[in-house]
Amino acid sequence: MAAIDKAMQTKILNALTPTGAAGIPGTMITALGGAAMKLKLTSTQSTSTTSGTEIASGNGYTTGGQAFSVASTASSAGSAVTCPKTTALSWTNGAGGWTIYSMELTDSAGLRVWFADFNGAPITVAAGNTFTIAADAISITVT
Amino acid sequence: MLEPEPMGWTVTDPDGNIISAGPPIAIELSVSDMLEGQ
Repeated sequence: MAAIDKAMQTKILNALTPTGAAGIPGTMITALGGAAMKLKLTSTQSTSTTSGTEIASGNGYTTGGQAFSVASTASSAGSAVTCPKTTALSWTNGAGGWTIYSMELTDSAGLRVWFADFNGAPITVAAGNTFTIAADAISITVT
Repeated sequence: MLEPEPMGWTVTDPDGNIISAGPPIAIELSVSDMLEGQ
């Protein structure tokens, strides 16, 4: 499954509908963290209401995930946004191996926005091996 | 001739050989789904 976090979905709906007092627009979405967004890996399936269990910190993985380093091309006329832009994201397992199920895109403070399962999950990454997400491998659209 | 499907993710060994791979990820948020509370 791939979608938006349920809490974020609720914020969007409330901000863009007459859910405020006497029919004014509801509470506007607050800005996300001001630093680079991150991609987090989980060992269990993420759902719209619950994050998956994050890969344990250490052996090549840092809690919170990896920050994007290049700006994605902004959407124009509703076009999809792809990431990571230009530079692939990769993690090399130092010991013990990983089982990877889902990814989550969060703001710099860890607030989850989008989530998706990897096609082919669960993915096994043995010690010494590297897991890589190719440039532009993730495409996000609103229809 | 068929074009190879682009790879979204890979697992490689220390020599760079691909052990496993999968297709890209598409996240599609449908506004109509949202309005239906999906």
